[in-house]
Amino acid sequence: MRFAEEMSRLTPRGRTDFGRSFQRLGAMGLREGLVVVVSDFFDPAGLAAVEDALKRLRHRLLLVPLTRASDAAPSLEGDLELVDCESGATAEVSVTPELLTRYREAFERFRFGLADCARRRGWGLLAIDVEREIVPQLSSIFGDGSYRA
Amino acid sequence: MSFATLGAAAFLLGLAGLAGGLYLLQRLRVRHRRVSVVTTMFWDEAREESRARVLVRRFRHPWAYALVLAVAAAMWTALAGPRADRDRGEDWVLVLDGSAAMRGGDRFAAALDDLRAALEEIPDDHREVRLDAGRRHTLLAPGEPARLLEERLGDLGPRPAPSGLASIVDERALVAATGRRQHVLVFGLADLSSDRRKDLPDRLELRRIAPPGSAGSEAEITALGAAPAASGDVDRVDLLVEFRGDGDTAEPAITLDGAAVVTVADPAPEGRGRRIARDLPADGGLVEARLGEDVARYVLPRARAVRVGVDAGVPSAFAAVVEHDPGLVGAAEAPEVRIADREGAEPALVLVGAGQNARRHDPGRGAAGLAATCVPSSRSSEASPPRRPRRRRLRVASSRLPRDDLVVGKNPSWTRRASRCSSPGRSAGSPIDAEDPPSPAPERPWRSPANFPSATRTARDSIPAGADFRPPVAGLYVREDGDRLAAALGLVAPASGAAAEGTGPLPAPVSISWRSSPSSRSGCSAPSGTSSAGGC
Repeated sequence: MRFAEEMSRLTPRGRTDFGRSFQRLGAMGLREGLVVVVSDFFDPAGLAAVEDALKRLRHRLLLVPLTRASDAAPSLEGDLELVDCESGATAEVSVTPELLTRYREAFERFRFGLADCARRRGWGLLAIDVEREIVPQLSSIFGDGSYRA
Repeated sequence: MSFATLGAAAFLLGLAGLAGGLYLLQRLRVRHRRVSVVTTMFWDEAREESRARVLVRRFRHPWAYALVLAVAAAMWTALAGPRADRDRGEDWVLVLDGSAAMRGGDRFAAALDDLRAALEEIPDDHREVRLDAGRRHTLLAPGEPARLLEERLGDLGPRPAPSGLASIVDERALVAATGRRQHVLVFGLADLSSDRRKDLPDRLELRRIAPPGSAGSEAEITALGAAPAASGDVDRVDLLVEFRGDGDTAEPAITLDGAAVVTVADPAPEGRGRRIARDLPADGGLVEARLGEDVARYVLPRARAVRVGVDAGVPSAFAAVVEHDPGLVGAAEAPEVRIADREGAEPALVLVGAGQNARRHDPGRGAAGLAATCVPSSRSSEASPPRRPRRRRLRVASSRLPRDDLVVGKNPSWTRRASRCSSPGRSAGSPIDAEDPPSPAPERPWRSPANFPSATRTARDSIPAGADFRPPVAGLYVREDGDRLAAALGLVAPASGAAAEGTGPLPAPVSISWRSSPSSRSGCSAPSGTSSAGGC
């Protein structure tokens, strides 16, 4: 319960940088255990950098990517200046159906890439849709009271 | 290359404007809507070439700009109507023969077909199409599209008139003398004599495209007309007969009031014949020319010297004019025209109308007139030193003259009757400008007509009846229907090819007024009622 309270007090901060974050975690010298990584895994350095950072941990890993439907299929149109909410980087785009198609393809490549990485490395993977109720999604996985990665 | 609708400067300015406008559009920034996203990494991956443009940042898409500019430039060029400059220093004159020889069968239609075919081959820029039907018509000026031909032709067609090809060739020969090569294509039967052809300049090419089947056609009369006699006798005319056929074997029978007329052969183009009968009496006789079954008739004009009375007070120059002009006869009694002394005013010309002194004129002649040239403006000027020549204006008015055009004749050989004065410093071959008549000073004698060059060397001109005009020179004015008006010094003698309708006094005054503008030296004055002015 105390852990949950700590978690609830956290606020978004900084930008995603798996390399630096897990280097610090590895340097703590913690006893081997289970590390649950809750993230969108949208590291600007790419999925390869995420995998490279995680594989150095000596812990068992459970990856919990947070997703939402609008990330996979954004409903945007027109001439837009997209602002990255983490880094503040901008990208000027003219949203066309072709562009949206390519976006979805890129997103699917990332999602399948993450799943393939977890499979190859023996990491657990638990995708949570943040726009839906969390408990029902967890009960579908932990319904029998146990989880094996 | 030139442009049909735009000048070169306008074209280039427009092109520069297009390039500048497109450049600005190319750099125009599109207003973007800011949207926050969790990451741009997928958009960066998926982003294609954006339509966003940035103002005053880097110039993007240079190849796209080049393509758009090329498209715009092509459209602009098409709008300007580019034309290749095909001036190779040559002109094409296409002459559609509409003379009397083309009236038979479908010759004219066939020649017209040939002309249409030629128009498709010859570029428009330096091509001119004329119809030679007694009076020349310009059907297509250089640069005009061939599709206008049908509209211009309208009801025009061959007319009972001789060919004017010779004058067209003369005109183009002058252009050829400037160095431009001239091609004269004749569609029809008109041609020049072999002698004339030999004299053509090297830079003038004359080709004739005869209508199919015309070579073997029957002999026929192609021209019949009269002109003042080359002998100078005012009451006689020379008769011209032209015909198709072998000039050696085909001989037209020519009669005047039933009596045979003696003719002499004159050089004619191959396949043609030309006969001239000299000094026929100009008394309205009926000429008939017969060649086989082809018959042509012509009523000779009535011509005679005009009786002119000169008042005693009139300057002697008037008497000199009357004396030396073969068309005038000094007549103290019963003159037809009297040059009157008007007591201090300019000498006036008085045409005697239907009064008791009137001679009997042939009505139907149509035109009579008088030209006053080289006359002082007052009696005192006779003793004055030669003065600057004065302008003159003539008005021809006649109730008998239809309100159509008179045409200045150009054939020198038929205008020898015209007499003129010449200033000592002027060469014999140069025409005398009506704006600059020579002084009538006594030391400048009148010349006899035979010593003068052609009186009608100037370009053709149209003179509407009743309108003011200045005869370019004394000479023969030929109306389109054949009537002639011979203008000599101080005289325009009535002449006509029309049949006499009877005799009687001239029913309506035929008047020509003239005047000289006042001179500060001589004090000449302009009489009232004249229509135009000049300077002394």
